[in-house]
Amino acid sequence: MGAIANMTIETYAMESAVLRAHKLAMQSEETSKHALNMTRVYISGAMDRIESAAKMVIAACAEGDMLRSQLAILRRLSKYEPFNIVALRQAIAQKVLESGKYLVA
Amino acid sequence: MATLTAMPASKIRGGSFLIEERTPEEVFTPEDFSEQHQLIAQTAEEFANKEIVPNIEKMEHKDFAVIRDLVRKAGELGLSGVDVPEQYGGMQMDKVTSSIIADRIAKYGGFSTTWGAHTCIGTLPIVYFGTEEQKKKYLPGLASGETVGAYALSESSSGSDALNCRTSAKLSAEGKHYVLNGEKMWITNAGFADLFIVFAKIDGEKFTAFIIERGFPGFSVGAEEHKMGIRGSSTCPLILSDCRVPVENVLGEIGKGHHIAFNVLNVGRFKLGAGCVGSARNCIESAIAYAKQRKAFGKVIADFGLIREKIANMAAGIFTGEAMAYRTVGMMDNAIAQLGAEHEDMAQVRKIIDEYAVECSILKVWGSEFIDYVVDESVQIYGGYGFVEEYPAERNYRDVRVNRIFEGTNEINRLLITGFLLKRALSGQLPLMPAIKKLMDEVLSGASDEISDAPLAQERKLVTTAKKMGFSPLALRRRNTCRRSKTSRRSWVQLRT
Repeated sequence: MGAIANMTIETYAMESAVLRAHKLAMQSEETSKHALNMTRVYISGAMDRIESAAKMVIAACAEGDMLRSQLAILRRLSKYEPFNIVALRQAIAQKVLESGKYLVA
Repeated sequence: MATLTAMPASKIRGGSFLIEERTPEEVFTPEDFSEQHQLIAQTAEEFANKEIVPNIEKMEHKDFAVIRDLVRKAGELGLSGVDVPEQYGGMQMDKVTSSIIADRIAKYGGFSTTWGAHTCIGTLPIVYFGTEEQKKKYLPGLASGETVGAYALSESSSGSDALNCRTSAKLSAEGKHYVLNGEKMWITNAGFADLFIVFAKIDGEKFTAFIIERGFPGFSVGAEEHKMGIRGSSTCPLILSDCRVPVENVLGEIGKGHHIAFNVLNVGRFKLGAGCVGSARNCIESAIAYAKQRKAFGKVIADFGLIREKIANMAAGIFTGEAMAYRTVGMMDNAIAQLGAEHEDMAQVRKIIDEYAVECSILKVWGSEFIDYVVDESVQIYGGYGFVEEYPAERNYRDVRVNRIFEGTNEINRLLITGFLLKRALSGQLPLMPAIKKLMDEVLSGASDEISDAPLAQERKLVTTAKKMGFSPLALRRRNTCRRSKTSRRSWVQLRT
């Protein structure tokens, strides 16, 4: 139950960040770059956490062929091109450190 | 009541984020704050900086006169009555305003706890469930801060399982009083509060709420607890020894105390989430200031990659936390605005808040765990100085820990999230099962992995993938659940209680 709740929580968090960044990008692509960087950093970590939780639930609920096919689906879903988190974090930190506080744009 | 002109009028079902796609226009974000919202944010922040922060030391040493004075000053500024209807001395503002205040006032855990307990769980039971007489008698004082409220649910042997409380109530022979006996534990504001919402079982079975004034015969307050954090707040047990409570002080329906106990916790949870985000904003600011002046190996530590990584993660979390917190209250306000003339009907408002119980629990769990990350890394950035009381990092580290415990432990909230969603799915209120089937069919059919050129297409695709990843094991759980007997299926749903 805890792992299912964690996936639900992370999904809401990811979607909320993406929708906010999208809304900002609709106003100005240039000034929303920092927001997009923060979004990408958050959702990258969230995807890892969701994948790990999903694996745990599948292993607890399935066995044999069902287990193998579910894990195959999960592997297929988790194939995506990763963001360059190292560079994104550097850019975020630069902006935040320059201003001396958290900021959105 | 302020309305959200930034959003189209649509009612979004609680929990539907799992199965429905949202557009950016449908969500409320901090960028949609009205002038009124910005003004109240500024007022709350100024109050925190000018009144709360200079008094931290006094509050840490339990100077209750200072704490009460600050509660009264917050009331004078209109910060305490935002959820109280105007006819009872409040401001009756929207839930976005409620969250903004909780967010901006969060400069010191001790006072945030006091003020949160007073304005939320100490006041809202009367707002939502009180009789006209009770509202007229108690709400003006609570909204102004002249009266301080508290909420007494937990006992030494019942915390998360609050309905198992031992405190009893019995109608007196003359029929004019209930006589309460028992002891309540960990009651915030108990040392100086005037009014207590206390839960007890009438005749040992009917779980009921009572409004108890401090001066009622048979009521007393025990010794202060010595706590790990939030030392600038009061936490004591209550002792009810043949405490005589007038029958007119029964709050809500007899035997329906659980509606009160759990409903107001939803409000406590979304405000706690917003408060954690506000607190994180303060922590990052002091961590940045320290990192920019502390030198090691000839350069400031802010130039080191691993310190920058922490700062970046904190910022990304704050951005996400703000998005979640204001999206949630935006949905509530939008639904409340659609009530039209009925928006003053507190029973309707209560139902709308209940609708978003899953989102409220999510904010509580996510916010309290995110702020733990932030304070932990703040201590790390401060190094040795983070471990001593001279700097705020040490106190923040201790103060935030309780957020994972009160307003329902994070474990209970996790059960609420899954239990609530499954209950809604099985009752057909939330078409979760057809959505799972549709998404799983898409997965199995090997739908295209191509990403369009549309803005944030890649990020949006990841959100869809996250939902599919979550649904994949849920489909298995569903299969397993359906195999079980009706009894076990019921118990699956009832896990939330």
